[in-house]
Amino acid sequence: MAARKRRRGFGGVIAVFVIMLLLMSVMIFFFLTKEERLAKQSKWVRQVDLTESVTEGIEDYIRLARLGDEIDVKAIVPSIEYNVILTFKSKGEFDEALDRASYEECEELAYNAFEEAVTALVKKRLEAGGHTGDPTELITETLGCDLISYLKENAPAILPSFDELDSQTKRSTRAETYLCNGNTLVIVENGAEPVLYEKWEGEINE
Amino acid sequence: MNRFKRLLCILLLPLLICLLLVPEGRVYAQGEQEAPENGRLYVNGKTYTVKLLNVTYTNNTYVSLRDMASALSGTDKQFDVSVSKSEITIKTGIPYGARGGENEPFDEEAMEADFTYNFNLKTTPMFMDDVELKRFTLVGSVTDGVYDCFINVPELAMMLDTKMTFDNDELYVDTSEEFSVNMEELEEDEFFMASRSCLLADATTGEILYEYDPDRTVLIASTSKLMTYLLVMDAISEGKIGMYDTVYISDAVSRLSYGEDGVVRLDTDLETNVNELIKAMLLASSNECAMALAEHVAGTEAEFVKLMNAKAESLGLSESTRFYNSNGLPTYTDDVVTAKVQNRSTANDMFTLVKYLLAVYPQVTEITSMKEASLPSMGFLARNTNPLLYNVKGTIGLKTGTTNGAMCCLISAKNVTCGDGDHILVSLVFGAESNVLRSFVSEILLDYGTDVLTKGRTYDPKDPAKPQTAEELVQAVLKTADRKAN
Repeated sequence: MAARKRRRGFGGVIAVFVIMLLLMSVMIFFFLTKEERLAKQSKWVRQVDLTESVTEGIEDYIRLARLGDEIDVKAIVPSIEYNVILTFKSKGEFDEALDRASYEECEELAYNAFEEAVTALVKKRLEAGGHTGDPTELITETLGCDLISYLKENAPAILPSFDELDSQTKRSTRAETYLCNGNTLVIVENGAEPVLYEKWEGEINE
Repeated sequence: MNRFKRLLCILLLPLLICLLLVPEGRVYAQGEQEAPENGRLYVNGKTYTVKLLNVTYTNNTYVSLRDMASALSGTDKQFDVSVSKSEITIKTGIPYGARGGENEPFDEEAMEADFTYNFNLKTTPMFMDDVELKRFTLVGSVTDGVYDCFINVPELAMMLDTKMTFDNDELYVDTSEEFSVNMEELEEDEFFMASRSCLLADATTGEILYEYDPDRTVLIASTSKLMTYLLVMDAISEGKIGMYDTVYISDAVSRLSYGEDGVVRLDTDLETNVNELIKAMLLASSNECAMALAEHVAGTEAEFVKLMNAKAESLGLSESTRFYNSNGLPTYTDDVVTAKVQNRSTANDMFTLVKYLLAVYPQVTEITSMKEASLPSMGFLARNTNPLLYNVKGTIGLKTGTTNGAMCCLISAKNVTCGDGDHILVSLVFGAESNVLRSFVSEILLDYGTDVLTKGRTYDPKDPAKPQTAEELVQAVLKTADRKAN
């Protein structure tokens, strides 16, 4: 009788162990699919900073015409960032694309800063030459067009063209691992540094 | 006395004979040909002989249309042509019916003959698939009784829309490729230097597609009448005058109409209206009608000229632009030492004016796209002087201009539909050596512009006149500041 009781107790432990194992597997399964579901539900964005390259481009252009360090280009150029949008497809595969609206915003900010820097340069040179006229008016009269149009057509480009950036950005690849908590997503590609994305609420505008 | 009369007869008789020998009617251009030549023609790899005439007047090679038609038979650019002394008829898409002598060399007799009197460069009526063209060609009889037409090679290439290249009397035709303007080659060949200034632009977007010396001050001759039209339309829109107002002809207008620069005779008792005067001014380039409109709008032409210059200023045109009269004819200043002056401007300024005109009064093209208009009050059929209206599909204007000083000018506009909608291309050619050249340059520019808009840019027009570095920009602005200060 006693032996029968012992056999029943051992079977219960195995059953509990098996049930626990099953439960853990189910929990792990649900945890992963939830993360994948979260990742797939949203679009994700990362910013690429062009501030430094734009600043260097403007400084290069005005370098030979400036009289000294009177123009602080770094103070003129605002933060210039464009968006790269990530969209999950399935099983860790994702697409990346350049957001056109953010690129156009970058272009506007960059050329406004370029205009401000060149106008400041012309103003300084006019003052040095003893002239008091409005630099913007004089520039427009000289060029026969506004300064931004002139700079876009005649000065060296201070940021890559949309097509150039787009061809560098556009890709379809697979993430080695990814972690998602609903608002942020970390992608780790094979042999690369982890990249952090944020949840994207906007519309894709390629 | 008898001896005096005899002497007078001896002197006057040769003069009279000369006058009688001058051909009647309007002579468009008198070409001078070098000796006729035999060239080699390669059509899709096959070799033929082709008769050529090199016209020194335009520095272009004119090719026998019959030889070309014969060689192109069987290709997808085949055409039939019949040539008489007074008419050329082309039917595309059908094989050529040979008349004899095609792709045969000039015989020795012809090679030694003086072709100058046999072939005149003029616009013999030409019909291509029943559409009338106005092209300068040389028509004459090469062999007895059989007429042939010699046509400028690139113009034929444009008409057939096929690639033709010419190298040292060797003409290559590749019917599988479309005609396209190679701007780099034209620039290298200094093609545009035969004109004082050229500009090609998209009036819809304002984009400049090509320019050659666009800020050079040029005399603008009758293209000034576009400004006259603009002010007349301003007066109508402000309610100062009406489109069908009766207009009375002043003595000054009547005198001009009976002078050598008159186009239509206007008597002082004539009652006409604004609408007919506009059509006569824009189509037949009537100087007296422009003056009549100026007087109707402002009372006197002098007052109207003040309005023209004020309008130029309000449009932001440069100081190079100045008007002295309403029609573009040469005039004299009232100074003690009189100067002969003409309306002047730049290609850039005239484009600004045209762009504004097309935006504010687009109905101008309803008139300038008419080949002719009957004007009953004047008993006059006004024929459009713009040859591109016939030769370039989609042309909607705008204005020709010619004086000795201005040479030949032409502002053309063409409708082009491309991916992002309808555009109006505008080509401006000032100071061309001849009316043959102004048409040819305009046609080349418009063809290039059409390709740019419909197929994308193929040539990057870098403007060497604009400063290329920050220092050049600063120096240019300093010059402007100096000029303004002084």
